[in-house]
Amino acid sequence: MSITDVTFVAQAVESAPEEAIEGRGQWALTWRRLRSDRVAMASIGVIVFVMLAAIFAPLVAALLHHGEYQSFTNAGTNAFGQPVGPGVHGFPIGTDFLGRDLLVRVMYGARISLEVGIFTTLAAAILGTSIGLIAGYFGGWVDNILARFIDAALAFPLIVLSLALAAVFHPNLAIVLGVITFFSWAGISRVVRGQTLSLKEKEYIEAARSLGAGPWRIMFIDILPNVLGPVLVLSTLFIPTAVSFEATLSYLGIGVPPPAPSWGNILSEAQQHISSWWYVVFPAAALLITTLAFNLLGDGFRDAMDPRTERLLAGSKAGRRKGRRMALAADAATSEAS
Amino acid sequence: MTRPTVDDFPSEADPDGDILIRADRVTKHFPVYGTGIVRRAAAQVQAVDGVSLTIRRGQTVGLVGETGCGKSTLARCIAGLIPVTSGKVCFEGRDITNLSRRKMQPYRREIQMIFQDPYGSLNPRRRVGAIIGDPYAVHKTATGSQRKKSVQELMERVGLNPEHYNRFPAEFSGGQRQRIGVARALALRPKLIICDEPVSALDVSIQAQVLNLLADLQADFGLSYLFIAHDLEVVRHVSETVTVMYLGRVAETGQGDQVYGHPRHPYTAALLSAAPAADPDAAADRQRLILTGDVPSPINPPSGCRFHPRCPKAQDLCTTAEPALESKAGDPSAHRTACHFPVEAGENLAREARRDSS
Amino acid sequence: MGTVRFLIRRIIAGIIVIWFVATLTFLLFFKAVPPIDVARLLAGKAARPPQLAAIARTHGLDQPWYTQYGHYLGRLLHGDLGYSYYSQEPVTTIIKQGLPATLSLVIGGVLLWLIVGLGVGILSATRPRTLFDRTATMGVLAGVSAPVFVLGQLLILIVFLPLSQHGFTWITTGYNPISDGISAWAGAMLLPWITLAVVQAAVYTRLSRGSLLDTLGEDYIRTARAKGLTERRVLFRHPSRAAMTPVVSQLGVDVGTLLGGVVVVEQVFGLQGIGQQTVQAITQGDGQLVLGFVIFATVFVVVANLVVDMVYAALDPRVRVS
Repeated sequence: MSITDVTFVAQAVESAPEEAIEGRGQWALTWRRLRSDRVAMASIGVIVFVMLAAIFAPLVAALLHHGEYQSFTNAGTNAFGQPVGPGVHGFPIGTDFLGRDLLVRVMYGARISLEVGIFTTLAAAILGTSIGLIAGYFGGWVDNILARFIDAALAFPLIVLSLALAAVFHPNLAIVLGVITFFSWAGISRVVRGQTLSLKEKEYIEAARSLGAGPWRIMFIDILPNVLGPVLVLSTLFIPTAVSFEATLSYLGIGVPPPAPSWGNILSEAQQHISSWWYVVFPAAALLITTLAFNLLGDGFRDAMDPRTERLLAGSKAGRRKGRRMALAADAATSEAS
Repeated sequence: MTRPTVDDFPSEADPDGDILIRADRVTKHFPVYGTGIVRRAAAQVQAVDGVSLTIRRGQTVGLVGETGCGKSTLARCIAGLIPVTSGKVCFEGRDITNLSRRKMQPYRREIQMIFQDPYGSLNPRRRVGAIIGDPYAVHKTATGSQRKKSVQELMERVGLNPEHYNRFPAEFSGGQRQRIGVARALALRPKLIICDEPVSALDVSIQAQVLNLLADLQADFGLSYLFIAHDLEVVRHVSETVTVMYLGRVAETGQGDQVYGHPRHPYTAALLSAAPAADPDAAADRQRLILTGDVPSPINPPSGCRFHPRCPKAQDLCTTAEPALESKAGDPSAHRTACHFPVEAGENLAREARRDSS
Repeated sequence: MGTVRFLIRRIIAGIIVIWFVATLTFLLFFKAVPPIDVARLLAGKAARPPQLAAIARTHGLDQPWYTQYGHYLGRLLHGDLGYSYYSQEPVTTIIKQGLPATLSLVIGGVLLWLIVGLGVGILSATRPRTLFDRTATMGVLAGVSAPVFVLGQLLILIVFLPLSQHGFTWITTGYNPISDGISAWAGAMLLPWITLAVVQAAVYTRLSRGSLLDTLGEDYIRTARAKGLTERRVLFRHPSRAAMTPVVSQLGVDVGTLLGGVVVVEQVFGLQGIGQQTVQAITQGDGQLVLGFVIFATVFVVVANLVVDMVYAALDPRVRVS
């Protein structure tokens, strides 16, 4: 480097405006790390694709002139009353046993799955976080009761509960939503409670109390931001569980009742027509890629929040080296923050 | 033997109205639970036992002692963070012992705290502006741009750049974080700030800066401090009055130069002899007084005078009778010691200690 | 002494859970299926009011709810789970009929997933970052995501159909009791076992691999190696205990999911086990049968959890002392 280079660099440093450096919060840092994670980005792409399929289902139905409940017994079934395959008579991926367009039904099915997945997870997250905070912060008998509740909810065999409920009240979407939320909140609650119990002892919580802050303020303004990270990861990982569970319930006949095009319903019908391979393969593929995408995204979130945890798909050697460097840098920053 | 009652420091011609905090025989015991099915207290940790303390307006009271002597617990009792087992704490004459959170709320504006750990005392996920602005939010005294302005004024006052309003604690050094803590404590213009070892975790050069800041603020705002530390030199630098605690009780208390110049309690003498002296020649002359034995557990404190197992001057009386906190012969009445056989002028305790252990 | 107290506490907790579930299901059914409907079901469609009343009286259906509850609990304690509304058979008989299929599935499936899961996990942990490890990790990821029944259907589609179309009939759907021959039995059970095991094996592979990797990194392992113990000794004597505890605890949690898996797999492969019968009972509206199944399932879960707790206590001495 020549002398002129050195002075130029020095000047640049000196004149760098102080105000320009703004603190980067936890979320900004997480997003940056996530952006460089190719697997996670691909998962987000897949999820967006599924969402688009759900949103544009009516459009596709209109374009094809095939409604989601519309039965085409002539064009849609063959001479033996069996479903027709992909490409036959203008059905892009074939039909089901009633001659309904499978593509349209699968796309509408995406709506059901996403609605169930996202709604239940949102409800579970809000409920679970609140209860976890309350149990963890107040301690004492409140915690005793709530913790028992949480344990009981976790230990409950889910299928048994759903079976019982479905037997008594006829299967409908509300039961499905309720049951899934019931399970999910306990999982989140347990984690939040654990975190709250340990965070409660931190000095900055004591400082807040010495200022005169009340328990609710401390829980939601001081403890909550520290707990949101794990909650987000857990929630993202719960969505595929919810989707899977809804599909399973529908498959067994105790979920969303037919003729709703839930993927589980479609697969349940497909069971009787298993030689029509498209009937199984397409909805199954839809289910698989949706759950896989959310699982990978959740994993990616976990890694983006704390680069030190071990990844399931560690990627190439270059990725590992970068991960090590990022982990070291993150160590320096987060060890002070934690 | 009756416990000593609270005494005022005499000869300052001032009414009691000048007293901010009067802690009267404060006792705090923590139960230790046994392992049975039913939760029953098997023992008590006697963290603080019958300690009385007075803090006046504009005054700095130093509280010294080794780890486990109960000084932090006492501070939290005074601040109302932990309920008191027995005894009384009065603020400006009003009883604030064990008040409910709502009733205590107005007093929280007057009594604030600064904590020891610069890394733990600030919420890592909140911006510094929000942290300093917390008192305004909690007590609903300022909102929006008014709050931001006040916060930035505070930041400037404690020596921070107000432009860093939106930064996170992780972006500041240890010394700066303590300043943030000071700014937070200062927001509501309290009358008393309890400093729980505010500089122990800092580098020596930074310590001086923070201490100077505290001194400046005291002059500007007329603050009182309860300054807790285990470093005698720091306490001497900032405090007018010094109280030495041992195992939950007050060993000695008085004006700084009295206690440091003429320590009467053997424990105080031992502490002073262990402190590094600034002048190496004087250090060479001084004889180290080495205490034998470990610090006993506060669950089962020694009978009588709690220091007797380690005291070079201990005699039979010390094991049975708890000494009263009173001024000894030749001392000003403000300088009180709890000892049956206080250190006399010119006495060489080191020799006595060696004689005992040989 | 600590262990006994621990076990007693768990047993009491288990009894409370069973009681709670029984009460809950009773209330659920009582409120949702009024006794008059039950009487009508039992009496048949052509019954007229006097017959209905007679039936109601014989079955105690006209009693107030707390009396019925009392009878119900009493019957439970005697192991009487009532009678199916449809077939009039005692529920316990129906359960016994479905038991062989379910047991075959459960035992085979659990064994398979433990062996595969732990085996792959241990091998992966001892060869970190190799091709084996990477492939295993990919497999794990795929396995964890899929809902069980999808896997079952895909297996039928990809394995069973082509094979049977080409005359290879060993693998079948449906259930063949062992009395028909071990070969027939295994041929029918193979795909169900794989289906049940794959998803769980994935979870256990990840768990045991992670746990073993953590334990192998601990200092006392390093000491064992430094002492000169052979690698095999190092692996099997020292870390196994500590590494196994998360696996055991996961097993406890999985008993619940196992039930779900059983129900689904039986449905996919037509095994007519307890799970499938429960689903049928629901679609038929046979409340007593479902009730009986639910209680049976709960008892099973409680007992299984107790066993898991005992194993955990044996592995981890700290649990006994607390």
